[in-house]
Amino acid sequence: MDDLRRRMEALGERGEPRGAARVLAAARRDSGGSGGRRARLLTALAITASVTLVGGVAAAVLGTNEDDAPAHETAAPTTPESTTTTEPEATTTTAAPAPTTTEVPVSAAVVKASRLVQFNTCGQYLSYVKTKAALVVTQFGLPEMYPRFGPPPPPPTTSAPGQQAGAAQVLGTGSGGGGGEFSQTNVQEAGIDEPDVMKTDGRTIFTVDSASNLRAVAPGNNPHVLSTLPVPGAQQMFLIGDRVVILGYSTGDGVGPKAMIAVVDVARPSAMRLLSRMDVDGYILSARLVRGVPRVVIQGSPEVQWSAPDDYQDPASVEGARSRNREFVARSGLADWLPNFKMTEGPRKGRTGQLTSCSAAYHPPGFAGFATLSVMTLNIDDPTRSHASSVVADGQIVYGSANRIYVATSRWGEIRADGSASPASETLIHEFDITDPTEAAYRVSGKVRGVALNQFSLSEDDGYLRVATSDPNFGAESFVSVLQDVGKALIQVGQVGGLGKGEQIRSVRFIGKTAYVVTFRQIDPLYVVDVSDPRKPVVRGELKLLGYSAYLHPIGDGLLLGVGVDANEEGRRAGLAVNLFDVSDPSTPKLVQHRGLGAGFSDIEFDHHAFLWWPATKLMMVPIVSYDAQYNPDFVGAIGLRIDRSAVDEVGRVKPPFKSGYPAPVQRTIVIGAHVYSLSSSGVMQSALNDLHPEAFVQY
Amino acid sequence: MVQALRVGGEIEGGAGVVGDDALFAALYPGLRRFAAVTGPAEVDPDDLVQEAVARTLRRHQLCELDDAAAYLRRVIVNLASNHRRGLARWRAVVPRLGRDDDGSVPEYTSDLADLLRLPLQTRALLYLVAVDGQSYAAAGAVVGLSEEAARARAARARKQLRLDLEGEQ
Repeated sequence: MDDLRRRMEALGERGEPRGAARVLAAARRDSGGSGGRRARLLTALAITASVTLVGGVAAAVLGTNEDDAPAHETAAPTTPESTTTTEPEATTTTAAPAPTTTEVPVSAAVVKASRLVQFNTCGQYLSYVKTKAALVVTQFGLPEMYPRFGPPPPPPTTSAPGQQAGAAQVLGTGSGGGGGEFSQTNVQEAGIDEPDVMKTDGRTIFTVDSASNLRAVAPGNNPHVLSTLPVPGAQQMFLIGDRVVILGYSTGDGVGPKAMIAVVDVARPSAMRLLSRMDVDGYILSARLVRGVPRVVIQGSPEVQWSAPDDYQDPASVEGARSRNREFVARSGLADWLPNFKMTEGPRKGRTGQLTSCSAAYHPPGFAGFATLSVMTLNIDDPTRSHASSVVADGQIVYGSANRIYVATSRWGEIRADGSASPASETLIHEFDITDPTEAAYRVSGKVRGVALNQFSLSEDDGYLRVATSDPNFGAESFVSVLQDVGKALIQVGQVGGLGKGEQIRSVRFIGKTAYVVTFRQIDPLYVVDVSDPRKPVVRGELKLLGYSAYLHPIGDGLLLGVGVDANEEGRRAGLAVNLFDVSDPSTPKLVQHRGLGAGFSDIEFDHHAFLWWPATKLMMVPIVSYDAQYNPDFVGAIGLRIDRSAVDEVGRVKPPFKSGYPAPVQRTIVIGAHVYSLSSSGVMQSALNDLHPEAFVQY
Repeated sequence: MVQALRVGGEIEGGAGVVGDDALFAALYPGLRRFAAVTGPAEVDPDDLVQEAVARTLRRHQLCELDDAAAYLRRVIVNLASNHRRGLARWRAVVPRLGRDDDGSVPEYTSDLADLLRLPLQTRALLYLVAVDGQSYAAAGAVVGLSEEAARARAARARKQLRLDLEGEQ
């Protein structure tokens, strides 16, 4: 019985948890986006198609007794102790070993193979998609979900690490009710804002809850809700002066999912006013706010009601459905393929249009699916005058720098005349120029071997794009590649490979000219990669310990903070952990502090927006849901930790009141003046910055 | 199980989607483990949970359900069965695309392979009884079996697992 239980529990740990909040958000999107038979069929096909790879990846990660061992042996990995601060002897540092550096010559062929092709006319566009669709349409419609690499479409949250130590957590100053300095959303690049569920200008806190209510909360001595504005479908927002731009989904008419973009006047937070609301075909992949201009990346799929066989076992029924779908492709028009928008609120309510013009649409040289990826430059005064550039491709990861937005997408093989395709483990990266505040202009494309994990896998520095990828095929191997925009293409100019043989990347952080790459299967090698010479990136050092860090955050002084999981010697998850690394000497990274936080999950593992680092008091806030041996929650809230080279001490805990009899997980924490504000589904808790003792609670 | 997850306090009516958040946060770890055990090896457990919740939300809010954990587990079992059948359909589509991989089950060389060879309803049943500590009646209800049938199915599965283990040794 014990053996059966042990095996059951081990099987129950397979895969990488995405976290309750993320799964629920995606489920809500799925449930509201497109009901009905077509959605069910596409969902079934999509998951069926994608599970092949996901399962393979999961097996590779969790198949702890698999034959192929990690390339680099560790001398004596030790299980970190739980819930205690330990000395760093649990680690083993090895000399920088096998990784290989490759300098890649730029050739005309490479340039040609990388560049997107612009459609000059709508006729060209329509001809392209119809020709491709006719080759592959089935009795279920388009097999648009070929097995692909990378994570499933995330909710419109994004995650990314920053360039400067501690700089990504932008500081502001306020003089209102809160007073003093305040924290802002933890973003990848300083000055490049990302949408989130909690924003503040220091005077007012704005939140979006899962019931799609935008709330304005006054912080300070008497925190209270100033006003509430329901915005159906709202998921995240930007705060731009006296405007809030809300991003989410719509359950409006149509076959496929609809993205929703709303603009709210918050000049008077006690009387917020909806100015406009726009529905767009597709869903929001991510967004960035650069120099006050929102750039929204939207992934759309063809708006088609495909036929499906009534009886899968009946050949006549199957052929009938296939024929109807072929006929549809032959008869389809532009509106069936290109994304459209519709104003649903505001002075231009009822106005509809095509999101992008055909001449602003592109396709990769190799076929990349039927989805349309659009970078929309939002005009918040009149959304109908927004501009969008589109690519007929799938998109998964969005990275934004001050002047560029990069969209990374899986690359599928060219579809041949016989309808066959050959997927390859490659990541296509499309570069858009956002120096013009009125539009995002496509520039170039490039590709690298392997699959990028998330936005932290990409980083721009001095005109070079650095990309960390894993190739899950053939035993798995990870790379750090450097690409350069040479005018006609994004060309790989250097690469170091051989990282984490048999493992895959679990987190990445680029800081200046250095990349920190964590791979994992049973142990966690932290690689320090020097990319100061873009053409010859080299591994300077390596550190191994059990478990892995899912999020890395530089806190200055040569220290790197890791939030992730402890694992046992079989590679199975043993709990949540915080690690502090000394990376001041790239050749010998050291673990200087480790603190286990027990069995549980933190949203930080999946969404860096949940992370708060407050440098002034060296405070890190960790939202956590921890469980006892029977998997019942034993603490749901946030833990404050004081991080120092010599110790990691618990400052206090925030435990929000229950909501409807259930514990309310903390989603975000921010600092305003001498207070910490924690957002949960039950409301906003105000705690003292020095010891986190509760001061007030604003009930939602 | 819902009772076990009520950490102080009673469920209030009309909690709506906000209550769903808290409820799902409490249910998620258990549901995910159940999906990991029950689902085909190729299916990511979170995908299964997500799909189960999405389908449920089309008809109900989670807080409306008398026993959300049991309801979602039943949906997960049904979806897992659908995926198993869907994989067969996918294999029929793949040759048209000329792909090498056919969606076949990845090999587990560990001791988990024995478990994965069991029918998914049986895996679900064993998990609910052996790990969750549920009665055969309650576990049987989730997978659509009577108490007697659940007891017999579990006994046969344990015997099979013992034989597999002895064979490996």
